[in-house]
Amino acid sequence: MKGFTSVNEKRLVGSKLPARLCILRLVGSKLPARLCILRLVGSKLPARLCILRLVGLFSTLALLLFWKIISIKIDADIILPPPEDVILRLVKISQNRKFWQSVGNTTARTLYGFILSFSAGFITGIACGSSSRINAALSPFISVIRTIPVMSVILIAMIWFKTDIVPVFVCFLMIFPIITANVSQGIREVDRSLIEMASAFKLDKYNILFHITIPSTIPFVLAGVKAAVGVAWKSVIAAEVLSQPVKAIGTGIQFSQMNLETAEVMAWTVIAIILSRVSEFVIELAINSRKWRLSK
Amino acid sequence: MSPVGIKLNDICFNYSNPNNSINNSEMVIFKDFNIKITALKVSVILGPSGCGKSTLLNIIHGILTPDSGTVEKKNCNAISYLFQEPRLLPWKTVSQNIELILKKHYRPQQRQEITEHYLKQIGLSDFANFFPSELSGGMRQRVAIARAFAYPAEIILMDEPFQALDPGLKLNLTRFFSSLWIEDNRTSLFVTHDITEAIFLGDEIFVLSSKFPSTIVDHIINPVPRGRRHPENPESLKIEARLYSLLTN
Repeated sequence: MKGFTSVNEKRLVGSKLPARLCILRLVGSKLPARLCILRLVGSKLPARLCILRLVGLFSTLALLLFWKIISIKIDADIILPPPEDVILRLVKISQNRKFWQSVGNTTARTLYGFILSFSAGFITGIACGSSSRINAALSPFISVIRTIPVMSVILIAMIWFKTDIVPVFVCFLMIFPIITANVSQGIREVDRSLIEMASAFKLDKYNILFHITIPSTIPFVLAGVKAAVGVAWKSVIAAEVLSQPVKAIGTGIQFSQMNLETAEVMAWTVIAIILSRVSEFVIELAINSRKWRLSK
Repeated sequence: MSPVGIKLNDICFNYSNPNNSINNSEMVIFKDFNIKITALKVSVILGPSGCGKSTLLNIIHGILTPDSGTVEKKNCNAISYLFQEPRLLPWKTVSQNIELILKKHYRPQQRQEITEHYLKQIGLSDFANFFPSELSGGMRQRVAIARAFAYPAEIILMDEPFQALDPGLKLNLTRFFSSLWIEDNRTSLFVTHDITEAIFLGDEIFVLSSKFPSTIVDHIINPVPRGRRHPENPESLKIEARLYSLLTN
């Protein structure tokens, strides 16, 4: 009798439909059941994207499960702590004021390194893109910087600079070739017909540079920035691990590792991943903004 | 006799083929070429593709320098150009595209007024803040026409500006051009291989030879006044027949 009433209650929503479908109808009014399930996952996205999101969600859950199983098998937190331990540790360390200072310091270093490198790389890129002689003169240096191992840069920088400058310098050197290459490629691929138009209307060099050449490099610059952001975080944290500045994510990782606190090493790593993803997301927002799409 | 706007005297121009540097072969495009373009009229240079029409425009503009001979441009401080494609900057709005080329000549307030005026003339006032990617091909070319007229030039050079468009749009745009031109007479030189366009727009029509070095094989003064030029006009039909026979021979 009880079961009968609940079926009836469900019928209230979608008249003569079976109970299961009625529940789904609560989610997405008159959509088919399959779509309603998908809507639960990704609000207003099209069905195809929802499916892809579900696939992504399942693969993440599978990875966590795999991690959990392996950690149970190994049964030694010092080698592989279970995922929930890492999350609990993350919550614990985030309650400490020192943690937020570390995150702030590392973020500031990454920003400094990034801004310095971006400015230098942008100017060098414009020079290399507009003059084949400058390009020929600078390309050996740039290719050396591109191939030099990060560890060598960090160790050399530690001899030259104070501990809190080392990460900034390393970040600078790691992104510089990426930005330079992208900007100079953008300059080389500027639409010749637009330059021809500008010179037909006797536009001067200054206006051509600022209104045609530089704007046409923007898609290349954004692609470069997107590629460089991940590298920036990685190189700053790697440099911090070795140079040990006071209060930094890298220092936290190194300190936890020395104390054999594997869960804490992983918690710090999760923070680094989150920061990197968030900054990439912000750049993607800029790339996908309406104005950029229209002005391409 | 109407005044001369542009005069080319004994122009010689050789084009050296960069792909054939071993033989150092040179193609003679113009040899002792002379032409007088009437001021404040629309002159059309009609000829088959690849007969040196664009080269001629570039020589007049000064982008190319002739090997010998002189180019006289009477009372000319600036030259405006209308290309085959609109060539608008994709990252600037319609009005910014026009204002940019006026920068050197006017103050911001004037630039804005001129831009508004010409956008109104081509019927695109409502699209001033649109990006070129939001406009149709015909609208973009209209913006390019507005830009060419907004630029304070005494001469307008046009390199097959309606070539890539469908016939209906082409006719529409030639009307836009005509109405702008009637309001604001400029010495205009229009290069095309389209006979209908030549008859519709040209006050004078020069026909170039198909073989190098290029010569003027005919010079026709269009007897039909602007406004009465349409495809069925008997005078226009007569010129059309003459031009066809010249281009096919």
